[in-house]
Amino acid sequence: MNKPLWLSLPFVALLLVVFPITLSVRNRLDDRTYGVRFSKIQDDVERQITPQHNNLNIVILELKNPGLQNKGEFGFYLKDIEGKTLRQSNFSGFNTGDPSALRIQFDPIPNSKGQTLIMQIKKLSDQAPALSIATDKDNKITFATYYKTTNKKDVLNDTAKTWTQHARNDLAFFSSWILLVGCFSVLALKTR
Amino acid sequence: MKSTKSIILTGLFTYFLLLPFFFHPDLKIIFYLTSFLKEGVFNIYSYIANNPDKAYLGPFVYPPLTYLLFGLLFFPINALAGKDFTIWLAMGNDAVNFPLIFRYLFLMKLPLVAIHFLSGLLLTQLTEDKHKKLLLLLWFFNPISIYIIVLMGQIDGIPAMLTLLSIFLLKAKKQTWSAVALGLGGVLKTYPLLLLPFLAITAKRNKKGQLLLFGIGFLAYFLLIAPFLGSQAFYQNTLASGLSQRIFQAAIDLGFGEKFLLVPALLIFLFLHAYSKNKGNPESTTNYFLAVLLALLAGTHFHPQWTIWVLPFLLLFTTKHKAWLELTLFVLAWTGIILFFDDKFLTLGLASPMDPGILFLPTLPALIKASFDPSLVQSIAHTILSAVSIWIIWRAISNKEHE
Repeated sequence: MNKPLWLSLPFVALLLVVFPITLSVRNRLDDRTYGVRFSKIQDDVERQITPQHNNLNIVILELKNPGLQNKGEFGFYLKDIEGKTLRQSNFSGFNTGDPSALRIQFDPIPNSKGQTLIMQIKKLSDQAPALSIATDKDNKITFATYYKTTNKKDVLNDTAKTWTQHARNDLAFFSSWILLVGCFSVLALKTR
Repeated sequence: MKSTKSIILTGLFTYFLLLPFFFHPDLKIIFYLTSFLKEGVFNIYSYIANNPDKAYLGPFVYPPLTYLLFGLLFFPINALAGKDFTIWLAMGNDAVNFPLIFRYLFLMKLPLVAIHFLSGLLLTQLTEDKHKKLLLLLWFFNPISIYIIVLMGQIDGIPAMLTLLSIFLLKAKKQTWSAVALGLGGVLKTYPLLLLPFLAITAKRNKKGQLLLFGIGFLAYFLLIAPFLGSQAFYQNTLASGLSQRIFQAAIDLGFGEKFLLVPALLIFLFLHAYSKNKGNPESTTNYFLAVLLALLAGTHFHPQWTIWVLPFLLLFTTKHKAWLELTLFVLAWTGIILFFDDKFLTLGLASPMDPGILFLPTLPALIKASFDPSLVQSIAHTILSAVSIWIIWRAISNKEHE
């Protein structure tokens, strides 16, 4: 097999991995915030979110259940700006590790894009020790939201946008990496 | 491909191309825990035991040289990674959508790639000229190396390099340093200590020399773990975990609570074989290293990354004895075992930095369990691997040129 063909094999392998995975993923990341600490859930907590896509269907919360001792009941509510409950789910300390990423999945909200929603967690029973939830530097609860994909064309467009954003996020790294990989490919082609 | 230089350059191109895009949580956890070295923490085991709020990613389960090595590597990597690196390290295992994650993955795995290429160069010194290029091609481009070093970023390549260095030093008639290399390997991951008796027996003909060589290697290990021997957490998290538990799992019940332990039995058999047939025969050392490490894989529910321990010796054996069928069956069986682990981060989850939604895809066992028992499929794959391993062990130790 000649050299250019050898060198193209890793690209082909990468594409063979990326392409089918992109098309087979059913739930794609909508938005994500990261916590800097865990704060105890003493009272009901809430946060406003604005999904960037329609069909929001998963919310992930980072929780901590010290020593797995809390077995209390909690309610998760997703409400519109007027306070109407759109989706609701209960969870318990039994579901919560130390730490754990709690996944709350519900029927997709069809018109979620651009809507201001209120995410609320209510304590339905009082138990010690309190669960803690990841919060950011402004003490707001952090989350990851996912939406259900419906359309392969939208998936491909979204993937292209995501990768462009990745490159913009770290232009210094990607340009250095392309240069490095490029140099090694040229050297490999030229070396007998 | 006409030269070793060309093979190395193509290997570097391939590894650097793939490096940033695949993630396994283990390396992140190692860097998170070893970052405490910059805060002056020396005994990470006691520190984590006494500060459980820092231990939410788990304890440090490796021997102390791993902590020191990665603690020192943390400094340059942190400098290149930027200010949010430590924030990302402290996040959970699904923090795959972080803005600079591709840079972090590249930088964290870079030292492992360097060691892997150093191992490749060592391999070329341990084989005949006519096999060098083929051996390098196999070493860099086999699926096991790419999976463990590039995709997972596991650290097992470092002690594996030290076991190769041990053979290299033995060939160069530096037996003391050969034993020291194994001792140092033992302070990164415990398994090289199992090779020390075989080095001692095959390197020296007389008992005194054998005991002395074994003692030197063990002393190198002991001096580096001595400061931690007073720590209960050190025992629990390193000496009493992983390999040391799993080699006692495969057993035949003899009744009345007694068991026949298969892996220790095989290791003792190999020890006696080495002692009776190959005392003072350093040409046979590589084959015993191969045999011992294959015994570990054959007889335990191994972590995938343990395969890199045996890989260099397996490839040396394959190229020398043209054991292509054996190698093919080994790799295919190994692939089958990996695919049927019910752990998303051993399969599709490795690609989660490219799309976090991958973490919601079912594993292969979850997909097929309605029709087939996935643990049965995995068991069949492991049985094939074990059978091939036993055959290779037999061929390696009964190789007439070493008697």
